[in-house]
Amino acid sequence: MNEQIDIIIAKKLSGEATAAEMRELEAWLAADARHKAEYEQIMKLWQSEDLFSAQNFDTAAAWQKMAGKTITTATPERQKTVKFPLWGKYLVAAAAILLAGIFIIKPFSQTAMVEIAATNDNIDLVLPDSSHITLRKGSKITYPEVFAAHQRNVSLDGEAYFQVARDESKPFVIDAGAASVKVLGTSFDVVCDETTASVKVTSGKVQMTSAKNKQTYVILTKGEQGDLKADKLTEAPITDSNFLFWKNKELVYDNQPFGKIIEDLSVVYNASISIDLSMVPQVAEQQITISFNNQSLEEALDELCLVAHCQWQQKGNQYVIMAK
Amino acid sequence: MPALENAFKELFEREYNNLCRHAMSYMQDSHLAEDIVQETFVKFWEQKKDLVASANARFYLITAVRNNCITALRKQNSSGIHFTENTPEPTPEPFITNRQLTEDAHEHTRKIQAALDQLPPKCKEVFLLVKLHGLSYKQAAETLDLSVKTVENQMGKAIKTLRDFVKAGAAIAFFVLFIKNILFP
Repeated sequence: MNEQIDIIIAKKLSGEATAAEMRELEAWLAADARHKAEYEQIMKLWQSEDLFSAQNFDTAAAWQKMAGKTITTATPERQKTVKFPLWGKYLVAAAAILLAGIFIIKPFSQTAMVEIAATNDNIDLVLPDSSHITLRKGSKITYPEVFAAHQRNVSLDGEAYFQVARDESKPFVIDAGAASVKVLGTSFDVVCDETTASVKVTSGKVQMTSAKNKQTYVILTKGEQGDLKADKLTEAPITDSNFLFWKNKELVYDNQPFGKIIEDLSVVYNASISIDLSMVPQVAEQQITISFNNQSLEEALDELCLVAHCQWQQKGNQYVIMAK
Repeated sequence: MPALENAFKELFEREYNNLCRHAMSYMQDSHLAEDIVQETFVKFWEQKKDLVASANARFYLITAVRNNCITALRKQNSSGIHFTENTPEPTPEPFITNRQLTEDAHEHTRKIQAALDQLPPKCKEVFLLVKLHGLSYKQAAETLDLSVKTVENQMGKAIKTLRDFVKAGAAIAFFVLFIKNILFP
């Protein structure tokens, strides 16, 4: 039995368990309070980073090294000098003047703008500079077909997650309604409308400026968020670890109150979930470690109830969590 | 950047950290681990460009990193030891080594990693693929050329190790409580 339950726990944690195995696990958990405590601790270990070397390798630095050996190996060829005969020099000069003419004229002509609205679903985009953007459903982004020579400008209405390709000679500037966000190359989430804006940074450095008062700005780094509300710009550590749920459909909780998890689930799944009075406070207020990965609300509730030792029922469009 | 270059960069950014951690479990040295992973990527780009954008790219990389680590270890060993035909293949090095852990590393962390160190090589390998790389049992089985049943059993073994670890922790906590109660009733 012991070996069998280990196999089932492993399958459950790896997302491989069948319905029958889930029932078996539930029976085992119900059989002995110690089982449940053990299971919770195993789950905590499973989810912790401690299992592997805590070391993080510097991917960005490694990429710098790698890029030179792989994707840019073709460039040296282009730098070959070509010798022109004397008359050729005049030709080159003439061509240069012509080209310059094109460059000078170009800024006066309107560059075509691309407008993309995510109406039915999130949209993944790659901009001309190879920056990646995930546009949240219901949001809109506008950018030029070709970026200007000195700056990459886009404007956003709604929410998007940006992974900006690094180019120090061309800052990436987002006109985000109430705020303006300027970066060189980093990743971050922006939510904005005409009067408020919020920026949460996942890597690199971001400058967030009030659109009304250009003198007011904050510099944000990894793990920080900037908020603009009622013309006031504030800076704070990110408290909501699940702010990217809309993008990756993943919720992770490490020792969080049961009530908070229920609250989050009802917001992200847009459902009404209530806790029944049959739940004793010890259960309703317990701390839980759990994660949901792209699951349906029903699956998420199944899992939560398994861990928290309770049950749920659907009554009309209302979900009720109750004692077992 | 053209699409292929872009896909390669994305693949690199997505997999680099985990592949390095994987390589660490063999090499015990972060520089060596990084070198091997980077070389693997360079070769991949030079020789398997057509695979860059395919869904199989990561399985290929995982297998290649693992093989390159084993080759590197064999070379390392052969510089000092002479291999006869009967010499068994060097077994992969422990999961995490104490040398690698900084001194202020949490005691708890060190204990779990020491516990995982005790896993037999095949079990560790399966556990790395499923837990670290997030492969499904079926994918892990295919990558290691094992049956899904074997993957299930090996994962069960890994969980048993975690469970024994948890139980031992509980026993110690109980003991401490017991002593406390006796000394300070």
